[in-house]
Amino acid sequence: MSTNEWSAHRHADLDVRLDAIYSVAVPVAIATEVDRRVRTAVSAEALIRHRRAATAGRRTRRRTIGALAVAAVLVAAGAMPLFRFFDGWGQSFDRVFELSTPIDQSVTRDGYRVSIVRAYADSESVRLAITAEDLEDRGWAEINIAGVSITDDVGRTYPAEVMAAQQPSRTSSESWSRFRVPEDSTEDRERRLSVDVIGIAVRGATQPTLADGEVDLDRIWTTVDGTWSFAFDLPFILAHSARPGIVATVAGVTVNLEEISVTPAETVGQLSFLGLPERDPDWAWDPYFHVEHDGQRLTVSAMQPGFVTTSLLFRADPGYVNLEGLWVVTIDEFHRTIPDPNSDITTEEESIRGPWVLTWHGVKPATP
Amino acid sequence: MDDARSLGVGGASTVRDDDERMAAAAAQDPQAFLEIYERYRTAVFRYLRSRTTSDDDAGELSAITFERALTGIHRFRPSGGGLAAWLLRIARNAHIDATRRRSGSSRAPETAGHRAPAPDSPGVEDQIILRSLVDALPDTQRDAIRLRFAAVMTAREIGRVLGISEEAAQKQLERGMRALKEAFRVD
Repeated sequence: MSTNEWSAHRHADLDVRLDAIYSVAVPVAIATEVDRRVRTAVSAEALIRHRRAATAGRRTRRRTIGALAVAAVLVAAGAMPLFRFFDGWGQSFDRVFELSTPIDQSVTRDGYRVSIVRAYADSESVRLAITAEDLEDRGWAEINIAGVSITDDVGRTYPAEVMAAQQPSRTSSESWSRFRVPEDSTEDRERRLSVDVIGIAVRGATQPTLADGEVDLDRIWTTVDGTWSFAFDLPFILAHSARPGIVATVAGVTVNLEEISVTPAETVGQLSFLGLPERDPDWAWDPYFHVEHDGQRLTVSAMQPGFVTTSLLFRADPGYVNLEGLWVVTIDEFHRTIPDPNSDITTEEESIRGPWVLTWHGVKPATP
Repeated sequence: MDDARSLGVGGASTVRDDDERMAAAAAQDPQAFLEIYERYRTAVFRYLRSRTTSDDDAGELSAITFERALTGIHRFRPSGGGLAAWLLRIARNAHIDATRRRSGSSRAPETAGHRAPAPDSPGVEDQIILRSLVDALPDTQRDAIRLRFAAVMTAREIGRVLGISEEAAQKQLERGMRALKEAFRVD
């Protein structure tokens, strides 16, 4: 083939070649994980909307986190010891697990045994360590709990937020799930919880496919119907909270560290903002910020709302037993994309640069 | 998975009506959002894969895209170019945000990594050359090419994602294609 013939060949089929480059197949493992995360988010969003409807108007403080925080991580754990590590979970996992209370209740139904091994609770969240086992070894490639519902003895529901799971063997799984304490909760130091595990999710040994040969995502996981019910008393650790009221003003924008709260499991902070330009409430600002305690940078795990004009509640790992130490919250900049007013389409990006540095010294609580 | 090529086919008004119906249903019942997810997940993944360096990153950003879309579905406006443009815009912003956060608020060069083709597959060398040529295009041309071939979008939809008119999107596509053809011939 001459150089000219070769070039003409390339020229003619450029569309085909670009198509071949970008029409990539989605790897099954990736597709399965995305599918799982979105379906988990949908389930959580339904619970969150239900809770909002049920508690609308009762309290004004924003204490709970939306569905953006929801994620489910499935890990091939190999020979890892029971409940030692979950990939994707915050660094405070081990500490919280060690603080949890042994429950050791099991319920067997239709050959599937579900066990609540341990539980932890504080003013912000409840966490459960649950195992699921196929006692009859039906040949599933994976098995997991499909859903969990928690209510307390006065009928309050605790919405599910995050579940991490791993598969120590083909016939069993272990999971560590987090649930939000409802906004209308009281400060009871011990509560009786009713836990229903609703359904067992199973994945077959072979991938189901559609007529065109692509993987049928809708049939990768199927659910074994049933309810595995538990009830137990659980101690609740009260949060330590303070209202520092520290402010910083840069570029006409004032940031206020209104409240900070810690439990052994997590750190929660409330920021408010004054002076952020607002054109459309649907197109708010994305704050780029970080939090440090005694020089250690925390990992912000969730924010509500994710985009801000007047206030922001963040959750971060790790937690602490009290507020003692130096707290520094630094907002580097606010960023947003601006919509076209005629089409609701992003046309440009905008930033307000700081930094806004909020420093506060927490003191050790007095010994009673 | 759905074939991304289903995007953009059929009458525009039919697509718009269907989008409006699906969005309204999802705003009422989160379970209805799964219909949106199932229809557009392939297009979103392919577009994000064209912008990222690994399947894992594209998968993570795909999940973030749909999680954001789920919580913001009430903001969807049918006049804004349809669900495809709306989702791809969220995906694009998610990638921009992720890039910024990783690079400490400054914008990192946007050069996508790609899964290497099998060494013995035909045209491997051409694919590598072509990818690097796309990566070297100006921002808007590069994004227009990716949206056209990864998400199979029309010029109108590309314009909605990039915040430019349909005519401007068409020009960017043509310029990008012309530049690729020129470069490919020279090489």
